Amino acid sequence: MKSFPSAKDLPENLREHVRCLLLAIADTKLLLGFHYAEWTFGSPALEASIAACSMSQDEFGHVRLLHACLNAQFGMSPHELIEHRPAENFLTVAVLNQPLKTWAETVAANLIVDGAITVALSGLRGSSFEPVANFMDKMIEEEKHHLRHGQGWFRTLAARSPETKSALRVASEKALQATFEWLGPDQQTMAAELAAAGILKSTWAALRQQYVDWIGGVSESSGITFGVEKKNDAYRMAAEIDYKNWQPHNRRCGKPVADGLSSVVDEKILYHLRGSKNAEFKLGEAA
Amino acid sequence: MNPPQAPQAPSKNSLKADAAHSIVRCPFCESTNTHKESDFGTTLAYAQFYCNECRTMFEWLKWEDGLEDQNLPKFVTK
Repeated sequence: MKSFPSAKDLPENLREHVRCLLLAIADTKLLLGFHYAEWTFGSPALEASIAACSMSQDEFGHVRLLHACLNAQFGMSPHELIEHRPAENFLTVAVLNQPLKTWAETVAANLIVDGAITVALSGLRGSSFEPVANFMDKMIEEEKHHLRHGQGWFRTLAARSPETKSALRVASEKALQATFEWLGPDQQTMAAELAAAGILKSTWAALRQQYVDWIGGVSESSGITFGVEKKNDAYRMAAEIDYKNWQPHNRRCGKPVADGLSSVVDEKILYHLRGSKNAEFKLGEAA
Repeated sequence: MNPPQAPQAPSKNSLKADAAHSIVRCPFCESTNTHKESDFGTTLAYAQFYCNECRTMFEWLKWEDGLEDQNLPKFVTK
């Protein structure tokens, strides 16, 4: 199959698809990194604090790689991507758009959101778009530790009191709905064209099913039911999301898929993420 | 440094269940009777291990051989 050494070698439709997919992954990783960093303090164990801090560094490192690729291939400067984009233009999984207020919400995001981003990365492993194929293996290797952490804490909380289990189930349902919104439908033009060109190495339906199989297995073994069910020995979503108005350029269905979730990143989060309080000290800014 | 403590039975804590069956060799006594304590250590690149023979904590570079993929989803394993 033909490979693409750079974005200028891609046909226009594929160029825009790749740009949108990489930006959506980078934006979600940026927000994951922010939330993990916040949980460096206040987690229920010192080990969890170290893990949260480390996972944050991983995510910010991945963002830098993706931003460097977006800059070199698509002319999108990292400075512009972080500092000057309106909140509504961030292509995040919506559950990250507001603070993760409890450890149960953080564990749910660690397992469910981080897992979904990683399944998307796995689809780019060995991609015919060479600039991303180069760093995908390393990124996925680092994500393994995140998934171990998410699985471990999920199972630990699932074995605790009824109140803890309930909090985990509610947080997980919300995270999963937002994640499925971001993933979009099985059948979508963008992913189909990327797969046909070998930029994605699997169909979107196959990637989604791998993700559902994994989440379903964790759910079943933990005794916490949260939006995935088993039918005829296969896992599937318990309730389909209405994708009628889903748009690949913003990965949204039009209105929030779960109560209490905003489609737009909270301005306070962006304020902290950008370091706006110390704007006068920023590197590269005019004095 | 604290004196070595008595060896402990493998933890039943499910946080460590995913990390069972280590084949990492202890850098101090070369035993493979070790287990992983944490995926995250003193720096980003290291996981923390414990040697059940010489009862010493040690760190292990994450991308060296020895960290197993069991219990991870198929999409991250090769």
